[in-house]
Amino acid sequence: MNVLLPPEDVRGLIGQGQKLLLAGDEELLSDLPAGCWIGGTTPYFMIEQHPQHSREKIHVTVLPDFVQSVDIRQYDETSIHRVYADAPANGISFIIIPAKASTHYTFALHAPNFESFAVRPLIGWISGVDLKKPGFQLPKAYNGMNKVASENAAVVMHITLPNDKVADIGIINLFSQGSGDQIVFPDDGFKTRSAYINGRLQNYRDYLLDKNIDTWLPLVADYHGISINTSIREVNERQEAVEFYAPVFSNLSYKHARPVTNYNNRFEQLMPTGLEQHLLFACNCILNHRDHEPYLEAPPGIPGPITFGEIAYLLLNQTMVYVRIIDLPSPA
Amino acid sequence: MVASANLEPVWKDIVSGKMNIEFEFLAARILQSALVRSFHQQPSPMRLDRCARELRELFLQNLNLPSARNDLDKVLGTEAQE
Repeated sequence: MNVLLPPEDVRGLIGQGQKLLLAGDEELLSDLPAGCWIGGTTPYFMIEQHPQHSREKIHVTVLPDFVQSVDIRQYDETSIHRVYADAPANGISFIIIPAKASTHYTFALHAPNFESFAVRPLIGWISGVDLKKPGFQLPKAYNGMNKVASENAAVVMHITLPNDKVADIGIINLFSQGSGDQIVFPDDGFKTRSAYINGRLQNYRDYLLDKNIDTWLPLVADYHGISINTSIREVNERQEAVEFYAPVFSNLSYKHARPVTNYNNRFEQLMPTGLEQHLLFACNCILNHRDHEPYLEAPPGIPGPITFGEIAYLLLNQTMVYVRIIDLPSPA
Repeated sequence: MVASANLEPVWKDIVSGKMNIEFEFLAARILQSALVRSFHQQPSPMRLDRCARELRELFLQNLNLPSARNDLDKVLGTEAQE
């Protein structure tokens, strides 16, 4: 069940001992009782294919009764490398990392080197803040068991599934590589000054400005047939540098995305048949939903929080991620 | 069809880029991409063996998942044809 509920209803679910994944405003999450839940800050949600903003309601994913066990842990930048190895043999792990935390950067840059990377399913999101709320705020991740809110550590709920069920993670990426220049970065990182454009090293900021490239469109790398996005955060005039929402990697070749002309058609083409019947959890990227004129025709999405980065094994940008549960046939 | 205890050569062919199989299983595509890049950064027989075993382990640990099972059949079917 994925729904937007008032805090009193969420308290009721916690009181019943339900296992919950929560997303909402900091004031609402901080006020909840201890229980079997994890949560992250965002006031943006995708409900019935429409983006919504709420500081009064919490997005709730109620995990099904067939979940056999739950193990909630916190990981900082020194322990996040254990996140795959700690996962159960048949289960799924949900992760929430506060944006701009050192754990966020460590995970984003090094996840492929972690023990048992990708062997166990890991899905989740980067928490953020209400972009319209005045005052200083920091993104947070909550461990509901002890009610600790962290601005730096990731919170992970490892769940074990029964033997007749298995978790299957998927992504929906509306973007694909365009036909433009091939771009290779000299170093791994969230920021760069230069890039090899078709093999020639030049200032990447100057390249973007000279070519008048729409920086809302992400950089796209081809991971053996799947498109993985890296979104541009800022073209920094003063530092002559370009910053990203996820790291670029020096051993990958990127191209700027091809513009999407009809989001609804593209979404319909990519949405797996029957997904909603087996959907356990999904989230959508805020970059696809903020005020991106002339992109007023915002893409549709899957029910779930709207987030500041998505995780499907790796950190992703401008992507929808989901996990569904597959029922396995009984042994003959 | 289940992988044998010995490492079949096809896993090394995939990591070295000699053979390109487009996997259905999302984790396999992501890991394949990471391992191919890792191997090409510092190619050596030891690294090739380690990466190939890591890729095979992904499938062995996810045999219940239909997409992983389909991909494994594809990989080992290719091996049998060689």
